[in-house]
Amino acid sequence: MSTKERQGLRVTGVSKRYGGLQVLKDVTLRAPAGAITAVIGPNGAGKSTLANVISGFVTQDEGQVFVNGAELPAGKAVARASHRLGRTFQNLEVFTGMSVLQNVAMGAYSRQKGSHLADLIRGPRTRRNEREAEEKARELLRRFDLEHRAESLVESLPFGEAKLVEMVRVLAMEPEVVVLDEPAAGLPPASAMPLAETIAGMAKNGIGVLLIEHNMKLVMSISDHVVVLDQGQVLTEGSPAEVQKDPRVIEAYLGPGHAKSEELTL
Amino acid sequence: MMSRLTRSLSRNNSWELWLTIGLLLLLPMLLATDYALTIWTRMAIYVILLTGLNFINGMAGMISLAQAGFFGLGAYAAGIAAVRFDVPPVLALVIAPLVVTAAALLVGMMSMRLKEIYFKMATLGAGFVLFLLFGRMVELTGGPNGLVGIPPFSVFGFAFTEPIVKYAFVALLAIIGAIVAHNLLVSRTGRALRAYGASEPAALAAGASPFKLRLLAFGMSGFYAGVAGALEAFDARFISPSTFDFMMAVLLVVALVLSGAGRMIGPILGALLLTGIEVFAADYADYEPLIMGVIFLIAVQLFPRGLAGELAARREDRRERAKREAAAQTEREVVRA
Amino acid sequence: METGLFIQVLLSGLSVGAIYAIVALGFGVIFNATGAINFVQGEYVMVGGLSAAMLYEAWNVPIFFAILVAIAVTTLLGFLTEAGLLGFGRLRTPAAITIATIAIAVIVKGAAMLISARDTYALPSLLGPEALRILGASTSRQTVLNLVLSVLVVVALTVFFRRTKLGTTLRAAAGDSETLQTFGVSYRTTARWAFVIAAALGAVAGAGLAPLTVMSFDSGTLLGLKGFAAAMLGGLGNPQGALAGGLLLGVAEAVVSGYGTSAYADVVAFVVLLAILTFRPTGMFGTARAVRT
Repeated sequence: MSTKERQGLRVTGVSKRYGGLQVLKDVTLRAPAGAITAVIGPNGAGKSTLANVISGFVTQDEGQVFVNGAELPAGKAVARASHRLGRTFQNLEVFTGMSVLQNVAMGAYSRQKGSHLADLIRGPRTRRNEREAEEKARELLRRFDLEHRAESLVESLPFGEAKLVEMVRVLAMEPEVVVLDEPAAGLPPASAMPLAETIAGMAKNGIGVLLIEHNMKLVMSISDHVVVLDQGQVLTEGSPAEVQKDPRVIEAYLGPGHAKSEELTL
Repeated sequence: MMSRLTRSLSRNNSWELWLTIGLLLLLPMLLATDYALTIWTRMAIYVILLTGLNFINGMAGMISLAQAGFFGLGAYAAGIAAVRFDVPPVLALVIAPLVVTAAALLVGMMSMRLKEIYFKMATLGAGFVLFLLFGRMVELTGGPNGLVGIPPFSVFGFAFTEPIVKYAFVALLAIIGAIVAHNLLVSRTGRALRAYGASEPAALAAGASPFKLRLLAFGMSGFYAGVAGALEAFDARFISPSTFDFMMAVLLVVALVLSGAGRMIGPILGALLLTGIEVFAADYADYEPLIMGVIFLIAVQLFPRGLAGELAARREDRRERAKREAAAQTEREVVRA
Repeated sequence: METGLFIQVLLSGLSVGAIYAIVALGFGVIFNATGAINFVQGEYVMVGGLSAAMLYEAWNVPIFFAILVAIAVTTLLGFLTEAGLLGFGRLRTPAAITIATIAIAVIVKGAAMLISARDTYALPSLLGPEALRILGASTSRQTVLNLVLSVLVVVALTVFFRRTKLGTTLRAAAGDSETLQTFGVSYRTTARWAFVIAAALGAVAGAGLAPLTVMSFDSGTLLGLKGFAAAMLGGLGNPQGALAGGLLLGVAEAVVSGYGTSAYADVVAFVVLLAILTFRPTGMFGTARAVRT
């Protein structure tokens, strides 16, 4: 695919209102391929709603979402996979009752064609699809040092590993763009480094990463570009260093009066 | 014990399929009198019917009360085609599943987005309206007195009247049906259906369309009910509305839930249970609903979420515990830092 | 003649519809208190109607006394239903309670089958056999009684839910045990009252219906489903909606049987039920409740 086509994620003029509450107002941002773009902001800034609009779980009132120049249908979560957009969830969302391998294979299935009815006969195509999905899943698990867990039930894994499985499942979808909704939430600090490596690895492989995160340390250490959301609007954006120094950001986070303090270190 | 159970659920568990096939082949050898064979035939019909119900109640995890109505629709479609329109039984056996599949798809489209309790009411309503129509469309169905004079099943003039031939035919279809259901259960389609029960958002994000998958489950359940109904019509050669009433709708669900909804072994165990009830209740027909109701109530009290739901709940508990432990560990590390 | 037929159809529809409304109210009371759908509701109607008619026809009990006993018996059945659902075991979720009510409905129906020996019974009109003539149509006096009864029940329930402490609790709780704690009432207490009230409503409906149609042990399922259709039509849990939904459903049925064939009148309720669940699951008045996932 040429670089021109691999523009990554583009969000233009997205607004969302719940009754009288304007949750998102004219939000425009980009998450280019091969880079990590972070979205930060205080609680209630509209970060989650933004993630849900991009991934089709919430229908926006106005604005568009594009992946590699193709507009995504509003509010259609199920159509995101075919547009090569994957996401993880703030609360762990894995398929309990299935093995780790099957969890990851679920991601791989999304790249496969073939009618569901054909699965009834279990013809050569179904078998080949299944074999390929499992091979792909196994290879990914090997890459993330999870191979020894392949046959375990996903709910028997420690929380950190289960979160990783969720991410690997998204990678099995071969996404062009990944939205990570608070990947560090609930993780012990010791897991932050491996997580950062995982995310950086995605970008290195050419994926456009949109990282929605609370953990400033993580954001500042790995992001290429930071977008600050406040009260549903883009307050400012820039490199991590620029954003850290911006008095408006500090004010949004800590409230007025704190703007004097030099830098946001949270 | 529980974890071993759940692990076997997550595997391909083809032993359950082999056991189903084995029982269908071996049971008639235990007792092969003509009377016994008619009972085994009924059991095999129930296997088909419950395998169909398993697509919705088991794989998709929605409790449908429409299956008795679909069963009846299949029986009446085949019976009416044969009696009123002189359609050859082979053709009637093809028509009936198609009719019921269409009806099931319609009911599915209307009801599958509803919340659990409303879904039960909607499917019960759909099943009950069919039951009412069986009794009311007198010119076609014969009304409450039933449809008489259904011919035996026959192929090119060879009538299936010998009990052993009848059984072999029904059992063959039951085995084919079980294999197809097993194929679906272990395929990406079956896994996607189960994935919905585990995490709807993640399944959506992985591009699995609930609409398509659940519609498929409904269509399949209708097709199987149609086959079972047609076989019932040609086996009994007389059908009346009371076979497909509210009680039957409840019995089917109870039998499947008790014997393992969502598993390959469920339909055969459920069918044995149903046939057992029919045989032993024949002498106590008046007490049957009362006894069944009490058993059902106790079962529900013991497994309020159904057996499969109970397992899922335990998994949920374990997941919560894992989360709590992770949080506690985080805290410890923070304290240490 | 045309208007005569129309009035006739309208009156018989309202008469039966008033009963559906009372059944619908029963569904609403249980739904508001527990969040569940009570499959026994139709059986309460059957027990109320059948036991009153049996007492009167088979045992020659005076009619008003028979009805009082029938209401008492059915109310006791409501009390027992709650005990059977929540008295042992650990059922708490609406979905699990709903399933368990199916089991109890089967038990009640089975017991009624044994007691009634599958015979059918009916009551005479409570206000005497003379027909009532209105605008060229004639109808049973029971029609008037049923209409008055259903309006009275709606008014009484509305006052009960709005003005009394127990009523407010029942209305607000919606099966949420935490909310109940703040009211200082236990989940069991609320549920028990809800089932007792719902059963009493069912008995009244049964007594009102027995003069219009014959009752047998298997009348309950159909009546329950019709009452539920009426409840959904008016918005589940909304008393005025239940009245409107019941009357509308009754008239719709009467129109089909008056101008079409009576054989398909019973099907109307299910068409209405499936249509409303599909297209407007919050009912005609759109009470905000999440019906879909």
